[in-house]
Amino acid sequence: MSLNLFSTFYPVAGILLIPILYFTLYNIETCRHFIYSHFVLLWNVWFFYLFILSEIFFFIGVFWAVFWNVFAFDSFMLFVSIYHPVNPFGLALANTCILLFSSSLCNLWHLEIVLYNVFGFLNEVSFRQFNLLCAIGLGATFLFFQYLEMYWANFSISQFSFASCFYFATGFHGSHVILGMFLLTVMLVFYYDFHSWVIHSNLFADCVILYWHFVDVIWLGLYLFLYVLPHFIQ
Amino acid sequence: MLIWFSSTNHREIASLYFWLSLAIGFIAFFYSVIMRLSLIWPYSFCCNGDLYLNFVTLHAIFMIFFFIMPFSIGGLVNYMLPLYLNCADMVCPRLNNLSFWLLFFALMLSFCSTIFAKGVFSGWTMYPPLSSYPYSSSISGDFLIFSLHFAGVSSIMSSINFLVTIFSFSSLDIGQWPLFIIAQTTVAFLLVISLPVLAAAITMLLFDRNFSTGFFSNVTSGDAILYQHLFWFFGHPEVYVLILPAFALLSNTLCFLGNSKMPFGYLGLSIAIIAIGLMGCIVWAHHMFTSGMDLDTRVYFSFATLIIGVPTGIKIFSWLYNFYSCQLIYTPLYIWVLGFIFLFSIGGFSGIVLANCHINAFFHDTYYVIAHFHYVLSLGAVMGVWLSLFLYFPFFFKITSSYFTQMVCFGTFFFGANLLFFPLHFLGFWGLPRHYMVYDPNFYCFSHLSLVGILLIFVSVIWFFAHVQFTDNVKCSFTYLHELPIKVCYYLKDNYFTCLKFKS
Repeated sequence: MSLNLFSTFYPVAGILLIPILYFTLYNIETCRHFIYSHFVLLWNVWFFYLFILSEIFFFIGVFWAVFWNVFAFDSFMLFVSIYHPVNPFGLALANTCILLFSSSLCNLWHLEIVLYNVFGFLNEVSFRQFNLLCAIGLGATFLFFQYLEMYWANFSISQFSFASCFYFATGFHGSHVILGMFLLTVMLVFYYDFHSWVIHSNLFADCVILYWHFVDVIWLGLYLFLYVLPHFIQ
Repeated sequence: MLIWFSSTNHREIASLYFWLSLAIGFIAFFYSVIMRLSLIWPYSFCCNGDLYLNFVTLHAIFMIFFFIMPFSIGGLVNYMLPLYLNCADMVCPRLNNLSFWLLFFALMLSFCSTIFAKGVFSGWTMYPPLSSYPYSSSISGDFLIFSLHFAGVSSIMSSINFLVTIFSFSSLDIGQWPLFIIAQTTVAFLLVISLPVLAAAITMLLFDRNFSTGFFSNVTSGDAILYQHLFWFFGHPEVYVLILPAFALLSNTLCFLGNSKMPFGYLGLSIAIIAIGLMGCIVWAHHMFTSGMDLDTRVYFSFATLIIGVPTGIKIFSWLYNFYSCQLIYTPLYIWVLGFIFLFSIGGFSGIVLANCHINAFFHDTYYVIAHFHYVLSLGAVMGVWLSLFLYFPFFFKITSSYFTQMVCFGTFFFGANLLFFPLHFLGFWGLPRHYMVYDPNFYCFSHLSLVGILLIFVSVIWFFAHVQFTDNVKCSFTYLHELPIKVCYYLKDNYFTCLKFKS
């Protein structure tokens, strides 16, 4: 099944994202020497980095199973041991662009908070935290598209080992998306009034955005090895 | 009453870990006594076959996850790390508490696996297809998988806690850290890296058992070898996690005996610990040499496993030179240290034999492997437990042991363990497989020796606990050492090594 409306819109939006991402990251990097002199550089963020490391190794275990089941070494050439690969240019590409766009919106929101703390502007924002709300909305759209994909898929989880790995990987990734969305919603509530934009050191916001980027990177890996590679190798 | 659940003091949490681990060590030891009783005669049916294999599985899981790991990592690190780093407590004290109570919950789940259904009979490695649907379709396996999940989360959280504490509060560069801290940092990194892969493996097994996925079954073009790879990618760093704290304890004991700040060959010892930790992550398939891997793969894993023997040998030789290079006081700890080095070396020699892939093809899943890992674990890691019972428990809990008790415990434990485990080498040479409750009468010659051995170990354990329970600890303190201040551990204050002194 291919949703043609979204299949054309989001790839174009994703391509347009690239200069936006470049702009946000450039600004964050150049503002760094302004920002970090005002705040205490807390070392407790290592706790979160190590937690992300443990999650990375969990997904390494999952990807190990994926590689084991995607590549069969019966002959001297690698071939894929599945029969019904999923279309990588349909919903999956839309999901990729959704997550990338969502990550960039999170970066924009973080930039707003940081610039407010440094320069004190953003006095004409009509609806605060629009970026974060859109990021959460895009996450929900991602989950809805994943549901559609699983509804319309040709295979079930118990048919062959690639299917088991497919649903296992996308399922655990989806649960991490749910967790990340919950954290972003907590951020939405936490930064609801401008008073809390000034005082805090934005450490938790950094951690939550890092978690969202980690979820995005895992999705990129999933997309590459569960959708694109089987489609082109078969 | 609620105060027992809500403590955030590192010493209280450490004592909770210690008592849990000693109790479960007792229980796991009794499982092994029952197994050994079943093996006295070749065709005895002291217990049912399923029950015997259940004891085999639970003996291993309780010893590894609920005795050695809580004792040497949970208990010792929680107590000693803030003392070493001169800080008030861990960075996340409440997470520390949560780690302990998650471990307790994991223990309750593993008891549930015996209570509610037939029990797990697949061995502690839980290989599919034996542990998967339909060969093992009761909920016992699921309870055990959940138990390992929670124990894994507990260990990951406490490892992250330790790492953040170490990297936040250590005021020296890494070339001057105490060996205990270097060893526990390596252990924490190994746990953070390997436990999530175990979680992935046993989650896939859980899904295969309950949700009819097809990861490990031939019908759905899955592969049971995948589980073995994932499991042993966890399993090999796990065994280094079990032994590295014992190495650090041995160096601490030698410093105590020789009244010196650093052991002999500190640089070699510290780099060897880090090298063992790093290399332990890339040698996992030597546990699966007979699983049909490619020859080049087996050659690589043999080579890498043999290379790990080099830093281990550096450590052994450094300890031996420590004996030669300084004047040691003749306490019973001296003979415990000698016993550790000698027996761990024997275990290492049998490990070097097993590291060769073609010899391994004969010895895989025989009693030779059992002899090897019992020498390095039961006579390595458990020796570390005994050392901390005699070296640190006087300081932690004012539980002292007299000279006579320590020597009796050593004598019975040393002779008992050797009587129990050394004949297993010969049984392995003759090809007796693991996990067998009945065996051919040709293998009958050593079972009584092993029985006497395990009864001697039983005597040593009972002797220690009876001595602790029934003596007045104020009187039988270190009376023979009344001239020396007892330096229990070294920590850093204003960049100088200072010592905690314990006076009885």
